[in-house]
This record gives sequence, C-alpha cells and structure tokens, in this order.
Amino acid sequence: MKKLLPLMLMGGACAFTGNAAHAQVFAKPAGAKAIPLRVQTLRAEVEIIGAVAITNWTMTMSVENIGFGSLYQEGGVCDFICARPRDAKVTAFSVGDLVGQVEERGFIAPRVAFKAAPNDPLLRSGLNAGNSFRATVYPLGGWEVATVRGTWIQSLATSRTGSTYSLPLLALKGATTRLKELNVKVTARDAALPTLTNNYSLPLKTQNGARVLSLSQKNYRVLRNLTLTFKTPKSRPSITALITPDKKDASSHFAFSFIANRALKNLSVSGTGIEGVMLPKKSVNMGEVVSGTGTYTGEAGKMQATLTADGGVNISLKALPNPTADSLWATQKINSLGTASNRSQIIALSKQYSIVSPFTSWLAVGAEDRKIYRQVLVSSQLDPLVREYWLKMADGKGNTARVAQLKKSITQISTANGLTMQDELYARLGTALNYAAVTGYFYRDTPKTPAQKRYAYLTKEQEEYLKTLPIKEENGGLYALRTKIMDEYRKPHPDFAQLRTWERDFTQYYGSIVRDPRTSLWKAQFKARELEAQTTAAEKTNNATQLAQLDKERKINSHNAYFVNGIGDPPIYVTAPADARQVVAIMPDGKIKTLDYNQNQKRWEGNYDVPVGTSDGDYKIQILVVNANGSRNRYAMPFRVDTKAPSGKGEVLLAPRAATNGERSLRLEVEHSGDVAVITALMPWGEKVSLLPSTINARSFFALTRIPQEYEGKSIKVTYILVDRAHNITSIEAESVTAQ
Amino acid sequence: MRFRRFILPSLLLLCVARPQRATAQATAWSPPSPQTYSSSREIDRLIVLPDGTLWAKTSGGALRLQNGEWKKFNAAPAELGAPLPPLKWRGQTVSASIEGLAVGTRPVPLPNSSGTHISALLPRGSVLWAALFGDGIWAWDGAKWSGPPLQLPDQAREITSLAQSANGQLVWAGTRRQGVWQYSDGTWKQHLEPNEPFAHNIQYLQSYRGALWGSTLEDGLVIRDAKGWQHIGKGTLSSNAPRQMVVFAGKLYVRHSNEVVDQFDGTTWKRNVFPTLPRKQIISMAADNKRLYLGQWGGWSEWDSKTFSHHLRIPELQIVPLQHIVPDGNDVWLGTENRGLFHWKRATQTLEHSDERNGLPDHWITGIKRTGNTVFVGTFGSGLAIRNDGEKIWQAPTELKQTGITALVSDSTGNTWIATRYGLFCCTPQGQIQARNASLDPDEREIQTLLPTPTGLWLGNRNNLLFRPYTVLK
Repeated sequence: MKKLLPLMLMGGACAFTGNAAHAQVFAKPAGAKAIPLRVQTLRAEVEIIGAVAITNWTMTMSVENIGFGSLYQEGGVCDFICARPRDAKVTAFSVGDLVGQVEERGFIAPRVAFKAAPNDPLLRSGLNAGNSFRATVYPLGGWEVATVRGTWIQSLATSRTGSTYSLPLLALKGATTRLKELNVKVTARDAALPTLTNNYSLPLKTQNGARVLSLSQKNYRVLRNLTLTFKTPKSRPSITALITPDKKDASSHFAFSFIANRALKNLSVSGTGIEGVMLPKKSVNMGEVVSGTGTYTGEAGKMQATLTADGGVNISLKALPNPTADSLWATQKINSLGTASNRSQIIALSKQYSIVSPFTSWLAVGAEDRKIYRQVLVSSQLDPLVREYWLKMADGKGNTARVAQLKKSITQISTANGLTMQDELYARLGTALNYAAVTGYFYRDTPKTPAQKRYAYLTKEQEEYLKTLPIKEENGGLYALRTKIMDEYRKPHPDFAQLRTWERDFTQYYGSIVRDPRTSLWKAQFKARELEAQTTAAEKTNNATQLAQLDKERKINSHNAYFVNGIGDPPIYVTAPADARQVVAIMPDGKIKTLDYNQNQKRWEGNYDVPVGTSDGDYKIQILVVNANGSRNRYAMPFRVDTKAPSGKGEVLLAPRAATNGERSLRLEVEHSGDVAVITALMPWGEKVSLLPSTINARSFFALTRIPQEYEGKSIKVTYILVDRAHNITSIEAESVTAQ
Repeated sequence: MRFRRFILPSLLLLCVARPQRATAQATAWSPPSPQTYSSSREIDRLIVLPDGTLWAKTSGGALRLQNGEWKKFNAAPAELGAPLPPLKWRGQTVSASIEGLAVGTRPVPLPNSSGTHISALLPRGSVLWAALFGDGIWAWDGAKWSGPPLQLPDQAREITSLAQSANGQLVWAGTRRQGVWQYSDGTWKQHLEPNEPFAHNIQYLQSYRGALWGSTLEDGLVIRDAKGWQHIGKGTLSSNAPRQMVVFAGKLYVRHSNEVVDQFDGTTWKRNVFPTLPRKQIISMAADNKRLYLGQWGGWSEWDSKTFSHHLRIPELQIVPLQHIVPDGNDVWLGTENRGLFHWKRATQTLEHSDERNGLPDHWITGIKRTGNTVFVGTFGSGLAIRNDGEKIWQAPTELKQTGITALVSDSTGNTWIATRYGLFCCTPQGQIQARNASLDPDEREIQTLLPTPTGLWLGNRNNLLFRPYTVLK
C-alpha cells in the first residue's frame, strides 16, 4: 500500500480550498483508504454566458496501485473523488468509455423491509456535498492511464463590485508534481460584462464576438487557480437567454442569468410561448445575480421574451441555443420541489437531466457489472432468510409467525428485484442444505434424530426441485468453475480479467463467491506478499523502525497461513503461525514432507524435487496446517512440469531507407507459440540484442537495432534464442528482408 | 500472458554439478566391488500376503518379513506398486483423503487430533483404525471417534501405512522416516535395516578424513567409512538441506540451501561461520590449497584462514548470483544462471565473458571442470561445452545436445565423467564421448553428483547411492 495522506481520510472534502500541497483526486475503494491519483494532463474548456459558467474538463491520471479488486471483493468498487466549485452542478461524467449516470442512492436494493448490507459500496456512495464531486466507479483500471471527463455548470460568484470565475487547478491536480500537459481555454460570450481580468495575465483575444483566453503549458507546476474577474457593469445590462436547441415542435427549456447593476423589484418574465417561469427571487440588490428558468414552446433560437421590473425596467432576452438550459432548468426545478414529499419526482428529474439530488448519486459502473452486483447483493440478503425458512420448514415449524414473517421479507426482496418468491425459495435451497450438511449430514444414518429428519426433508425438497431444472449438468460445471476460481486466486499474480469472467459465469447461477470462508485467506496471501516486498525494501535502507512495524504486521497477518513459492524456488515456504502443531506437504505422488519452522525467516520450510519421467503438466502440492487451537488449514500449491521446447518464427525487417545520420534500422520480431520468457537475437557482428514483449501482441517479441555500415547492402542472418519459463531452449534463424 | 509457475528448472538446479574439489584430502572410503546403497526408512505401503508375509514398499526398494526374518531389496516387486482394492469395513467401502474419512458416501469429520490428516486405515472388526499423521491411531466405531487405542512411541507418530496379521494379533505401522514398527503383546518394536544410509537422495558427495560424505535433499548428511554409516541432522547442522561441501585447511565446510556455511574440524561443528560477509548469502563454494572461495551476489570473497579479500565490485558481475565458482590455478571460473560463464584472470585483473556468442549452447551453467588443457562446462538443458586452452570458441558435442549436465569430475587417467539425469557419460582423453551405463539399472541413472576415487566412482542419485569400479563402467 502506498503512503496515505491524512487528507484522504476526509474523503476529499476540502478539495477545492484545501492544502494544495497534496494530491486532490482520489480513488476511495470501499472498505479501504483513499488512494491519490496523480493527474498527468488536464484540459478544461470553459464557456461563460451571462452569469453562468460551463466547464468541460478532461483529466488523465495514472492509477499507481496495481489494480483494484474484482467486482465483489472489498475494494473492487471505488469512489472517484475530485474537486468542484462549491455551487457547481456536475452534468456529465465518464471514466474511459464508461458514461456515468445519476442513479437513485440504493438503486440496487430499493428500501424494503430489510437493511442494506453495510459493506455494500454501491449504496454507500457519498453525496456530492460541499466542494467535492464523488462518483461510484467500477472498474478504474490499474494498469493503464485512466481518462476521466466531466462537465459542471455554475453561477459566477458575485459581489457589489463584480463577479468571479475560478478554475480549481490546484485542487484538481495538487502542487507536488508537475502536469505533463495543461490546456485551458475560456470563452466569455456576453459582452455585457465589459471588464475582464485574470490572475495569470493571459492576453484576451476576440473570436466570433467572444473574448477568449488560453493557457497551454507542458511539464507545468501549477501554483495557483485560474481566476477571472468581471467588473459589474454600470450600464443597463443585456441578457442572453439559454435555450434548449433542436426542439422545434416541443417544449424547450430556457434559462437566463445576469448580474443586476442596480436594485430590481417585482421581476417577471413574459413572452410568446413562455410559461412556467421560475424566478427564485422577485427582488434583488445591486451586484446580485438574477437568474430564472422556464419553458418555451416554439422554434429554438426565435424566442422573444422580456424581463420587467419596477421603475420601467424592460429588458429583452436574446435567445442562444445551448443544451445547458436543460440542466439549469432541472436544477431549479429540483430545488423548487423541496425534499421528501416529492422524492419520486425529484429522483425522476435527477436521473433524466443528470443533476444529482439528495436522493441520487453519480455512478459509473458498467451495465453488466451492475447486473452481477445486483445478483450478488440480492443473494446476500435473500440467502440467510431462505436458509432460515427452509430449516424452520424442515423442523415442522411451517405454521409459525416467524415463517410467515420470513416469507413476507423474502417476497418483498424478491418483488423489489423483479424476482419471484417461489423461484427464489427453491433456487436458494442449497444454502439451507449446505447448512444442514454441517449440522446434520453426518448423522443421517442415525434414524429419528432431528438432524436426520431435517436432512431428509431438505434432500427430498431439493431432489424434487432439481428434477424441474433444465441445467442439472451445471452443478458439476459450477463446481469445476469454482475450483478454477479458487486456484487462480491462490496464484501470486492472479489473472483478474479471467477471474472477472469466471466469477460472472459463476454468479449467474450460484451467487457470490465472496462468501467462501477462504476469502480471508486470499486477502492474507496478498497482504503477505505486499509485506514481504516492503520488508525487502526496508532491509535495503536498514530502516529499523519500519522493519519493526513490518515484523509486527507480518505476525498479525500470519494468523492465516499462506505459502510463497516464487519462480525457481525449489523449497516450499509456508507462512503459518510459529506455534502451529504441524505443517506438512503432500506431494502429487502421495509422499509426505514435514516442514520445519525457520525462526529467522519466520516461516515453515521444506524441500522437494520432481523425478525424471514425470509427465509434463500441472500438479499440486497439498499443504496441511494444524494450528495451535486444533483447527486445520489446507491449501494447494500448484506447479508445472514443462520439458517441451518453445517454437516460433522470426523476422528481420530492414528499414526501407536510412535515417538522417546514415544508419539503417533493423526491426527484429519473433512470433512464438506462447509461454516464452526471454528472446535474444545474436547478430552477425557480435551484438546480442534482447527482444521485449510486444504490448499489442501477447505472442510477439520485438526490438529495434541499427546495422553497422559495413553490413550495409549485405544479407543479415540473425539467430534468435527462445527460452521458456522452464528454461527449455530453441534456436531459430532468420534472414533480413527490406520492409516495403 | 497469464502468470504460471515453473519449478522444474530450479529443482534440477539442486542437483547440478558442483565446482571442482580441493585435491589435498584423503580419499573417500570405497567398497571393493559394485554396491548399491539405499535407505529403507521411508515406508510407502504395507501389504500382508495370504501366507502371512509382510511386504513394505520403501522409497528405495522393499522390505520383506517372512517367517520372522527381514530381508531388504533394492527394487520393489512390481506387485507392490499395483493399485490396492477398495478397503471394506462393515460391508462398506472406506477411504481416507486429506479432507477426512469417507464411509460409503458418507463423510466423517476428523477427530480432535493434532494430526494433519488420515494417512492410513485399518479395519479392526467393529471399529476402524485411522492413523492421524503426526499424532497417532484413532478408532471410529461408526458413530464417534475414540482416543488412541494404542499408545505410540513418539518416533512412530508419522505413520504412512498400517497392516495387521490375519488373526489381528500383530499390527504394523510404516512411518515416514522411522521404518516399520510392529505391535504385539502390548509393546511396539521398531525395525530398521542395519548398515544402510539414513537417506539416499544425494545432492553432493565429498571425501573428508577418509570417509565418504553425502549431502541429502532434506535429511542432513550421511557419512560412510570403514566402520559403517552415520547420520548428522538438523540438531547439529544449520539445516537438513546441505547442498555443497569443500575441504579447506583441514576443515570441512558445508553450505546449506539457506545460504549459510557450517564448519567441521574433525571433532567440533560450528554453525554459520561466515555471518559477516558483505553480501551475506553464500551461493557457491570452492577451495584450493591457498584459499576458500565463497560465491555471492555480484562477486565472491576469498578466505586464506586469516583474512578475507573481496571481489565484489567488478561491474560485469553486479546483480549476478554466482552459482558456480571454480579456482583454476591463479584464475577463477564463474558460472551463472543467466549470464553464462566468466573467466577471471588474476594477473591482469580482467574478466572474459562467454555466452552463446562464443559457442556456449546455454547461458545457464551447471558445472565447470578442467581436465588437462581442456575446460568442460555443463549447462542446464543444452549439454556440454568444451574448449581447449588458447581457443576462443566453445564446442558443443552433439552426443549430449539437449541434455542437462548435473556433475563433472575427472579421474587420474584423464577421463572426464559427465553425469546427467539420464545416465553417465565419459569423455576420454582422446575426446570421444561415450555412454557408460552398462552397470547401471534404469532407476540408477538419475545421477545428481559424482565423486571419483582411485578405484571407481561414487554416483549420488535421486533413488540410491552407488559405487562402481572403473572396470565395470562400460
């Protein structure tokens, strides 16, 4: 785990005005501490119309931790947190290709007669309160640069002397590192704001009647926010109304906003096709923002309306088609609806116009993942109830009040999630049977015991149910799939993409894998590897304090045993408690190896070898631990025997022309059969070139080199040496071909 | 690409050739005729034949108890390896797995035992005995477990197999390292074969003070002299997994898989005698009449019994573990796992590098041996490389192409003996490479180390320890 800053624990709440020395954009995995995201590039395009600013921003950032967990794991789903101006409304948000949506908070489990699971990250998504923006996101890639886009709209901050717009560059980026690239463009469209200054002394340009300023920097250390100041106009203001475009035959929304250059009373807006005008304030003082919204029926761009006030004030609204009008209207509408009594209406508007409300949150989780998560969540809620129901039934207590209550709860949850109670009762009967297996299976041969009766009852019910199932074969398939998932998790570097696929398949039929009690073991394994890496680093710097702390953590973590067996390590290392009674390894041929505790390394150790003649393939060593309290742990340690040499086809491509310095490039490329670890090329002039794995083709290695001048015009024969992970070697030769 | 594990190479590494031995030492004891030594302490399976004969399949062969007489065999009869019929108890099939006991299709949880798992079953009339590995024997009566029906000696708790006589009066327990135990008349009696090594999976062989010293995979050291076999284990050594031995200044140095070195002066053992080396971990060792060489990460240290001189700042060697170090006169050969071979010339303080560009068939070096004017280099999977002094390019003989070399030694007649996991080869002084497996059974050809004596060769195998006079190595 990276070092965590105290600010992160506050959930980014002080992002806008907080300590600029810290990174201000975070990923906050559910159940874990926030992780700072280092913004690499920032692009912002700001449009200011009247007293409204629309900011479109794009950030790219490297997610430095190696990746978040799978969807169901703790930390799989995370909150993306960044700054926003205090009164700004976020109207669009996306992560990569995943477009965010505003959803009802707790959308996955509507409020029914049960409590949402406390660890459900999707339900814990925070409000977009204060000056932070928060959205629930999955996945947020750990290996590639993440691109996040957003739009917010805001009214300018005003005073008697003027109004200001501030782009929170510091809060978006932090001041500890430089931005690789910064591009900001501000367009002020309303000439009624005549005097415009900025704190970067950027020159103003005029483009299509609007004033434009730009800030473009590379490798740039941001030291302050970009602030634009508009002096309050003394002359009579003109007003530009924003109107929803392209709705010729339907009602459009419009909005307007300007800064009052004197006190105005009894404000009103009227005009042909205009109705539903919302003016939060009927009277304003000098310097205040006058804003309102309404509905217009007519052709976009041809709206004619007049704002009047006491004292003969009569101002025309000039139409300017702009989609932001919808958002401004919806914001004002939601505000006007109040809170709880209009909950459903607010939620509907919030979702329709992507304006977050007290009842909604931003969510950027793929539809498929959401579906799976919903299944997982529903399972976590239904399974205990169904289990209790069946055990009561098996015990002959079907007519009790408790069973009636259980049926009611199961019905509520099923109905709320589009399911049928009767189907769910039988589909989840297995959970009760599993429980019965623990409590009663072993006594099933002992007649007349309650356990025997319970087991018999449930078995019969399940058998009857299974007869109706079209997917009987899936039971075996699912078991195998579950085994594959567990095996993958035990690897030092699980293939999370593969796991996601398997887990989806599994969950569709069975529910969440996370309920497996060994989840804690997997976590311990990951934690152990992390601690070992940190210990190695600390040993290099001889940091005694850190080493002592790490030693403490290792001891705590070793409560759960795990094994470590890196590439090329013939010994078996098992980190199990020092006071374990026994740790043994059972080899694939059944031989038993007893492991000894190494006090220095704080682990159990043993040695093994593999006899000649062992067939190629995957094998497992079973590790058994008997803990001091008598409990047992069992793990499988896989290994592979591979004696087959790799194969491949090599190419030597000569650049069609020489570079400006006269040297000609040579592209060395090998397509291999898979499982190749290292490829080197022996050049005829004695050079040894290491090829690198391609980032675009998993079965390809490549390298670029230059040919010496004395080889110009000659055929070049290259010997490629392919070495796989078991150190099987193949040599292949290739001759140069000039690329077309 | 998905991450996968490949352990085979490293396993082989355990068994690869070791650097050249110091020559100033007494010759190891050797028998006058071909001998095969194996241990019968590890019992895989016990079988009682209808005539009452007890067979114990061991990791090195078999034991037979017939008419009260034990007899040892270096190879197990094929029948002992055949699948056993399902075990029946009270009319039901019973079986044990690492999860627990199964009676018919019904799983039975393990008793409250400190044993790791059920490692053997024995039907005893109305009850079923189960050996809980590392603990003892428990009894299952169909409804509940009951405590140990027989009190076992501590040494006999690692049970791998159980058997009984036809009338049930005799019970035998096969163990992981303590041979066969027989129970009768209320007492347990251990049977261990006399005059055999404690273990036979030999990793390295060395002669010291007239005795043969063998390091085993996981059972410490076995020693053979004219008096018989001895065993030294973890109580004396830094580990049960010693990997290399050299003799320097009259003392035996033993390097362990945990990269520490113990010292024996003939009477006293000292553990971890080089704890303050700059790079800590000792990966390889060698000795000549002047110095003890200790290979480490990125270089080596030389010990002359008084002071150290370190060679740890040679740029080409940084971050490279030196898996093999072999003194050659004033110079030093250095073998690595992924950088090929280096030749350190002390006079000029220069380093010559060899890899595939110089004809080495593989950059993973498993052995280095000089015989006369020729240097032999073994590789992990690509055979042998040979170069005569003065030549620049290594030659890879086709006879051993694609073969992993595990050991290289030379005898007094100029033969270079080459061990592989598939048999023994010899390179004659004339440069001919010949297979010399006539006196080796198929299961005696997984050779991991060699030690020459004036009369023959010791061959340390995975499955046994052999002595073969040169006269039979044809």
